[in-house]
Amino acid sequence: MLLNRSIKKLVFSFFLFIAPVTALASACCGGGFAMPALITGDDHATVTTSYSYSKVDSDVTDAGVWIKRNNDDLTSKVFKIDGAFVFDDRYQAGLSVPIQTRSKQGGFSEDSTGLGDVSALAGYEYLPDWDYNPWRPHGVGFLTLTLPTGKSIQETQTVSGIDGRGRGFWALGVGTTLTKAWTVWDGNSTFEVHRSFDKTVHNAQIDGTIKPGYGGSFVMGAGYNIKGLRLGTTLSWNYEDAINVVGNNSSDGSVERFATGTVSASYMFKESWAATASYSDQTLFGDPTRTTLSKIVAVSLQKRWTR
Amino acid sequence: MKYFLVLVILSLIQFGCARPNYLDSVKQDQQQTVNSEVYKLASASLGLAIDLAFDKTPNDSDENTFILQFHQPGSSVAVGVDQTIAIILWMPSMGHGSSPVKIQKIADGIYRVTKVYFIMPGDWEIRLQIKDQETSNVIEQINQKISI
Repeated sequence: MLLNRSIKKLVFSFFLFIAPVTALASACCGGGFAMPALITGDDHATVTTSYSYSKVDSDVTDAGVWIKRNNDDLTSKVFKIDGAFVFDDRYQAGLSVPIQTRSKQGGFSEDSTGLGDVSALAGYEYLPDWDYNPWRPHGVGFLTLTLPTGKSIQETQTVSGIDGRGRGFWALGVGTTLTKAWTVWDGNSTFEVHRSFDKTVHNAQIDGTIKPGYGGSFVMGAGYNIKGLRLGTTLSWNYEDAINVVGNNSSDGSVERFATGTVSASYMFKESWAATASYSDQTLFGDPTRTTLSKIVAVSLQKRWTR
Repeated sequence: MKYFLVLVILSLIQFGCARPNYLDSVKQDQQQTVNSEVYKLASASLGLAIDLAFDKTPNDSDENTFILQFHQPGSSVAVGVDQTIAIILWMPSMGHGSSPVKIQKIADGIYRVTKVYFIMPGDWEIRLQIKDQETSNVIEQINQKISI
């Protein structure tokens, strides 16, 4: 019984890696909607630092036509710090701060480094798993707030738009994460919807209002645990409403859709430290439209403080 | 339970696999051939035809340049216009544009447009605006679609 509880505790702790790693997967242009790490285990607080490198592989038009990039012309490196802590037993708060470097090669090479979209999270453990029920999942609901600290592609001031490091909109989201462990196996699912808010822009590109609308994501994942090692996989589907522009340059836009497949390996090398390496690919799954598909490798290191 | 879980995951992966519809090299070549030809536009407000001719096949890697020439329909002789000309590069599906282009008048009715950057592949619009010289109000906007 004690061993079983220990295994479950170990498995739960690895769920912590899932949220920050999958959030790295991003679409056009500086990044997709991201959310901070969530504590779904028995921890009091966590700090995760991650580094990812992504390369744009293909662009997909709104007609569903894929255009392969012939060279490694657009790459992105993201260094991110995620923090989360539990307060008042079942409530938690989290913050995610990404620093992004984007590089464009080719005839007009440019680089840009700076802050991406910062996001904050408040969570509530609405479905605890104190009795380790064999079927009932462990559930955490959350609210997210995204700050437009990364410039949107509509606000860039470079020739190639390389300084667009985020979506650039205020956004509020709500969602839930469900997790469950069965001895050495575990499963998890996250569903989230968000509303990005209108923004008025006055620059050389646009003199008017950008209306981004709603978006959402659905993530399913599973893992297999061997002592301190967890091998995991996740599939996430993302959707964003069309970005409607009203002003001197008006357009209705098209919806954005993409899916990201991720495989990861996590290792707990001390009681309170763990590392994760992952590979994500946006060209393998789903029916993408009006997006940019990337391949991403990421590593992360996490420090945990148990309750 | 674990076999059920594996089955569910494999099913999801199978049904969720992407089916890429790549723009193949033949189509890309055909598209480039079309793009390298002169685009024929028409201005209803001026009653003139407009030729838009790229110096080379437009692409998303380098600076692009094109010539705009206003002329009477059926004639190739350039005709000067009193109105101000503006060019905006726009990606309608994405809802964004590009950095401002540079327009230089070479002769009456002939303009060289430089610093034309299509910052990513996909479907773009070259939006040609004809503006009133005094008020800067847009009299007419002509949109030319172009695939990069």
